[in-house]
Amino acid sequence: MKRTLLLIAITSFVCSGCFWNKEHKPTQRGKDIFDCWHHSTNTVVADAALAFDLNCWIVASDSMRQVIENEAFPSTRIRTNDSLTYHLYVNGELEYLINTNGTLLTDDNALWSITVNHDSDNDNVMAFYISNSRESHTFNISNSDNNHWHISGDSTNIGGVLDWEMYIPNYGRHPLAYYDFEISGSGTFVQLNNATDVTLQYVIASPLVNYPSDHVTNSWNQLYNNNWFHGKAEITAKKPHAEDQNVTATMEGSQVKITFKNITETYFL
Amino acid sequence: MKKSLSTFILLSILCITNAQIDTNSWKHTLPRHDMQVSIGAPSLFSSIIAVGGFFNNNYAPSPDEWFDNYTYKGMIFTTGSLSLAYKYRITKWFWIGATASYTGFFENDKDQITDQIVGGNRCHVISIMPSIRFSWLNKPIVTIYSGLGVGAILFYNKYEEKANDIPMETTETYICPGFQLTAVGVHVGKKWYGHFEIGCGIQGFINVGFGYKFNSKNSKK
Repeated sequence: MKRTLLLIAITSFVCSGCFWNKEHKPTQRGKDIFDCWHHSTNTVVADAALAFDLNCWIVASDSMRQVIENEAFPSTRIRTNDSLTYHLYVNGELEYLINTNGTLLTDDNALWSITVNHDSDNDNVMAFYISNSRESHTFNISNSDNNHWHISGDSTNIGGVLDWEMYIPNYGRHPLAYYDFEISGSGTFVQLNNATDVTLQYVIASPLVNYPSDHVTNSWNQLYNNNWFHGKAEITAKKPHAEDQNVTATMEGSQVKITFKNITETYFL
Repeated sequence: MKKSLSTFILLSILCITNAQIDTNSWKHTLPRHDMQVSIGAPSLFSSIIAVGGFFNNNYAPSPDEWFDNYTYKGMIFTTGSLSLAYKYRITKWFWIGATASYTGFFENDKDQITDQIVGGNRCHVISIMPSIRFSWLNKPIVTIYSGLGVGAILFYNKYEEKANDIPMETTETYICPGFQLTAVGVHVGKKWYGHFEIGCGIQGFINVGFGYKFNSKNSKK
């Protein structure tokens, strides 16, 4: 009987104790802001990569084009009427319009314009992106110097700005995902297809470094989900009449150190 | 003669009295009234209703929320499902009665930086249910049974927060139907007993407690 009563007492204690512990992460908001920035940055990189991959495709032989299509454009059809403007259809939809102005990206005077029509992230809160309109946006890539390319865009009507320098030391005849590359610069992301006035202003304080993986199967997907091998960004989330939210993110492969309100914590990506 | 008559009357009375007490009847061996106090793990149902978001706290906040008060939800504490029940045995195996139960959930909002409490959620879940019980093993010390209660549940929720340093309070109350199905329950003990129940419903999956079985002065007749 004593044992029974003891068992009842213990079980009662356990039942009444029912705690659900929730993790306290003082930098969680900083991580949320970083996630938005990271997602948006990768989206720009992946879209820019299409231009570099298209450049490879243009200069490639017919047999090499087949390889590049399999790796970089697995569900994309490339169409052109004049070899100046290329239409990229993804699953039958015109998603990219790339105007080469008759140049290759490796030409000194290269100036490409990339218009992105897809808005697959409409309902995603992470969909910060430079945008000229709520449904499509355009950015430019120009050859600045010795394997450096300037990636820029300016949508003054809603405040999106893109001012990047991309360095690809060994850029050649393969899709971008095969190469080391670095990105530096700054910009402002605005929210695509959303009425909020929140913007993300950032400066890349230490270049974002990407090393290629050993096995490239789909370069666009790989870059879209990329974790930077090195890099540091200072990000400020802004909203009218509200206090700025400042975040410093230091990336090391699958980890990121987030500093928010003078507290630093490490997250696994 | 007088003495013989007196003896006869006395014996007759004793016989009548003995005839009225049927020592083989369950009414003699098993008590009719049963009061019990229990505590159970809070049911999933009341937990979801009461704490609402507690499966839902890992969502990514929208950009607008980045500028809200910077708080986090602290631990959720629950009293467990506390209940008080009374049952009356109508036949050897069938009981009727009622159960009242209470479950409290308490959760604090804390400042992410200072860890100070700045608000919180207090939810009280009260149910009252008429109930029946079928006891299918009836021994003086051990009773095994199943049961069902159907009734009403009252939810009262009070949420306190600070918006721009101004304290705000929101309350909500609503009533909905509820039940408690006891698949198997065991009493062990004679008058005072401990019990253990497995079931589902507002009182939770597992219930333990103690109770007291008794007969009123007239119930053996």
